[in-house]
Amino acid sequence: MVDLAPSRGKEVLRADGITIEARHRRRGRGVIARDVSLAIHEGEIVGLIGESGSGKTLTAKALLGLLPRGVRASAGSARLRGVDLLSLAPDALRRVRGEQIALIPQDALHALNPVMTVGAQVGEPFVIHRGAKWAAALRQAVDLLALVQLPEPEKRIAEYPHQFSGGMQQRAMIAMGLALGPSLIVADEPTTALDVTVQARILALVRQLRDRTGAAFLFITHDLGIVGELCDWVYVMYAGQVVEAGATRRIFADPRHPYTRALIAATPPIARRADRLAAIPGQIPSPFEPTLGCRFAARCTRLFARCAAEPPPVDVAPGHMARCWLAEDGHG
Amino acid sequence: MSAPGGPLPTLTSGFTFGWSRFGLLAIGGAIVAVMLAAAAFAPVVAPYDPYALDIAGMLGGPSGHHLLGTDELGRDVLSRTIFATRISIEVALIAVAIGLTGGTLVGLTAAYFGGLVDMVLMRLMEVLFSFPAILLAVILMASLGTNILNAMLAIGIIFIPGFSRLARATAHHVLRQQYIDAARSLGMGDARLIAREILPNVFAPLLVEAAVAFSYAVLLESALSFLGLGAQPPEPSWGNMLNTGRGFMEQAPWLSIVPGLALFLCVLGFNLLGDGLRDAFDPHLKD
Repeated sequence: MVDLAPSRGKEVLRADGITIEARHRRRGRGVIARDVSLAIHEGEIVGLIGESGSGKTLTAKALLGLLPRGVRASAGSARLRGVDLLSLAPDALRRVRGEQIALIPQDALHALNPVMTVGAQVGEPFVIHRGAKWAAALRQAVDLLALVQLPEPEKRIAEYPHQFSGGMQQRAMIAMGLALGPSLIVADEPTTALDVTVQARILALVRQLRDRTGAAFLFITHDLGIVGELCDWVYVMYAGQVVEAGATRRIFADPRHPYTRALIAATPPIARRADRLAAIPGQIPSPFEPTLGCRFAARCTRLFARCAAEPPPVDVAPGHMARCWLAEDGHG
Repeated sequence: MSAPGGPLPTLTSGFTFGWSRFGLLAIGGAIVAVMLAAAAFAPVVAPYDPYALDIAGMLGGPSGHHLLGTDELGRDVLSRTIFATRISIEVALIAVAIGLTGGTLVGLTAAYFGGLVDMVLMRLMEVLFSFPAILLAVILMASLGTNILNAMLAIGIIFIPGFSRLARATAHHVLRQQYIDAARSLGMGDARLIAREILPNVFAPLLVEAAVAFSYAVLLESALSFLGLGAQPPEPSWGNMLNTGRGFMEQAPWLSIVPGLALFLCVLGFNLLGDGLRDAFDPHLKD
């Protein structure tokens, strides 16, 4: 088997067996993410793809220690440069956030404080972590906004978020995330709320920033097109599990899991007009529904007896894994 | 909070809105400005000493000497009304400050920590809320003693539940916003999060409520003084002036009409100002 993996830099994050549980008043305990493992290296953009409810956002929030009330990471570890984020005390975690790991949220408008100027918000990490004076922090904000190619940053720092366009707001959020030069930036669907041309420019910016700063990105998305365009590696999540992972080119060329195949098939072709958009029938199972066998069994077109009875093995080849009974022989 | 980009936009920071709204804000602002000026400069503005007796000229109608007449002891009604503005504004200012500070503290604590803290605090507020305002004021005054300082305190306590509910509800909304998560993801601690992210965002509705509460405080102070529980004679207050005027309704109606009108204008002014502020502080109407 040829190793298609690009040569990888130093490891930034290694997540091992993260399991996230939720408590619900009536429905009891649910498993939102089960045994999720990820590896991210310096200078990589790693995609985490899945449909709504796949657990991708909560997995990312677990890394940042931002799980909502009633949801907790019950097992596993996430080592960021050797330090386990899941077992850090709140105060130590607070020091890591912003400094070592940062978040670029989905909806930039709502992620900016409406009553504070953009400059104050972009500069604030320097005040929080480095004890900078406000004047110095604002100068840093100007530089950062220039770095994310916001026009006239000196003028813009005095403006409020609602005076920015959607693309500019997202640039400001990216500047805020980059402020202290964190090793890992978690981008939670940062382009979903933007229109397509702006989206393309933001993606180009992310790629440029990766090249310039060497930071690693965990890019959460439900858009396979973005993964193909941007990501070096991709993790496909379904119902709380990573079902397939590998180098992006390889996953696109040779998908082994039926879910990945279905996702690729569901991407509408650009060249010709599709009469009907392909869809995957059925729904993602609820985290509160226990499953004996494969989580995807109910929606799989290649289902056979064993699928519903036993959880599928994790097929590991160099640079490629898939969680399917059929993955081994390439007929998944 | 001396940070740039300050917590709240100022009134003059370049927003546009309809003339009618601006008109109401301007009228309210003007009335309030006149009231505040009268309170601040009472000794200069008032034509006579509000305590100066003139038994010979008692119950005199409006005239060139006494524009709004004299009371049963011959004191100038205009001067007394102007000095009474002072008491009203003072009491309202301090009472609203007590209510706003206490209510915000209780509301933010309840919202931020949730759970049992939230439950206990809010049930306590409901107990306070369940008393009619005047009755609670009378009970508090009866146990604290009758003087103007206790009136301020009593009115302030009456306001705490209202402000706390508003602060809690607004803080709940703010806590669900993505910028709270974003701020946490930057490593912001509890104290900074409350001071920089939550407080400025709950402040606008609280300030509007404060303007409205202000007019209510003026009314309550007058009511307490009318009942003899607030400002004590000979100190002039609209409330005790109205109470005195009650006895001379037919001979000297100006004794009731003048302080009544002052009270009415003051309440109207603060209400209009509150409405205007609500529009002005909405960040989405700016720009």
